[in-house]
Amino acid sequence: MTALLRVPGLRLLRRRRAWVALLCWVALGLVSARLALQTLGPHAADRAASTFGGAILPLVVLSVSSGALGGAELRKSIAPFVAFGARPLRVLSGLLFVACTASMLVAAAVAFGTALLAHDPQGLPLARELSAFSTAAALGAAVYAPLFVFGASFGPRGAGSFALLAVDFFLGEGTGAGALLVPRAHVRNLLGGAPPLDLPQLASAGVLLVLGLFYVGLCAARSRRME
Amino acid sequence: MIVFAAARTRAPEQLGPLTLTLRQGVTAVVGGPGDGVRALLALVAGRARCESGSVTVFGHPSSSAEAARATAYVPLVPLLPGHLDVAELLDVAAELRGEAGGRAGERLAALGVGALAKRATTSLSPVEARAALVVEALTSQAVSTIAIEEPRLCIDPRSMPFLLPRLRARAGEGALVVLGTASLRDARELGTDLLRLARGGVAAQGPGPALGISEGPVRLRMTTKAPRALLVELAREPAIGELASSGDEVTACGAQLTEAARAVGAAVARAGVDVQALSWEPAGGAS
Repeated sequence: MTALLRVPGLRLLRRRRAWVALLCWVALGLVSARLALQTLGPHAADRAASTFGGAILPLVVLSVSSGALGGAELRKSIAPFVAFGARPLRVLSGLLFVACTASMLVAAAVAFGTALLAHDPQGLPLARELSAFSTAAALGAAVYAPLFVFGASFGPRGAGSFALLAVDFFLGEGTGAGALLVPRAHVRNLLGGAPPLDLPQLASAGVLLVLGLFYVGLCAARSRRME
Repeated sequence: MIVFAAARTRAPEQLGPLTLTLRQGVTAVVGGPGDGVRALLALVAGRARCESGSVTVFGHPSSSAEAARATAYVPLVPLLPGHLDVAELLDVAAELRGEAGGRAGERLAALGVGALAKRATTSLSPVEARAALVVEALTSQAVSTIAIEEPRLCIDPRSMPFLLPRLRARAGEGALVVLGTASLRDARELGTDLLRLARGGVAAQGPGPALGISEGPVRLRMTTKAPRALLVELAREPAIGELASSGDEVTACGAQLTEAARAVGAAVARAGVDVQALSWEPAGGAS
């Protein structure tokens, strides 16, 4: 099993393109948080949260997931190891574990930095803001990662991930029933933004967990077809 | 052993229904494009599924993880995982096959390609990538079935002197080696048993030296976009007897394969036509 964890980890560490994209999104998030504080003052945290949840978080997770896949479509990423006798579901499990863990860590770190840079001393206590941002980011990342890994099972070189990013953007932008089905609206809710269908934050957290399990199930279904 | 029980598949090419058993040793499967050699290797390696019938490898379905763990396949176009070096690839493969790793350098050196150890898999040329997979196949103690497509084609020349001795050694240790090739000469040199496929079925099977070039009348089939021009030139060849044409296919009969093949070659050169496919069969025998 260690090989199945080691390989996606090595891919992520060695894939320069993923790192360049990741650093770009991180820099964008931190700069926009800083600018928000300079221009909006007490509302900086809200704007930073909106930018982070709506754009930076999914893009960061997309870069990490793509890196763990080695920039390839899911089947091509898994196939060489199936050829050596590993079951597709086990290879997928290792891949998802690395993608989710790395995404959560990076997202939480970026959220921490964003909250720190956008913090208004007149607003919520810093510790509370940092904790809320980081927790929401980690939970959102844990759900986005399997979504994008599933998306990588479609299209040339896993381009389906980008399609799902677009679906998440458009469906999650609103607050109607459609927004329930994608992580974006729930992450926005957890970061203090407009909730989908007026759901409380705890309910959104629960829906996110369910969505995460659903996306993992979709990935498993796709991998079973590779047996 | 590998048991084909009325196995039929259409991908990557038409094969079957095939019923036969391959036993320990080196079996060379001979045939041209479209004869089913690639499909047979893919079935053995679990890369293709049977539409009907079954293929079992040492008692396990060929597409099962148990069979995959003990089967090594070296296709003509290899797919290697990226972002690893060759030594890491061998160690990962060893771990997945349930054997101890850490011997990658030694394994590569055994087939003359020790220099590949620290090379990234994405930096390998096709011949080097094939050599890496051949090393994995021939030096893994967990592998009991080895399938190699065109063992003398597109493989790092540094490993070629070690290839045949290693194949024979693995077969001697009880492995079942299946080699797919379009070259009858390669098949006779490398294989102890030969299996000739034609149009997805078994044309002949037997010990290597006995399954040689046909000495009797043969029928050659050629596919070309200019059948008429080829027919005119073939008619001028004394080694060619009966001629027929249907659409793009030209059929020529000769008393002996070698003479008929030379005649066809000369006719094609004079006519200046492109031949897309060429196959032969004993005249009067089933293909």
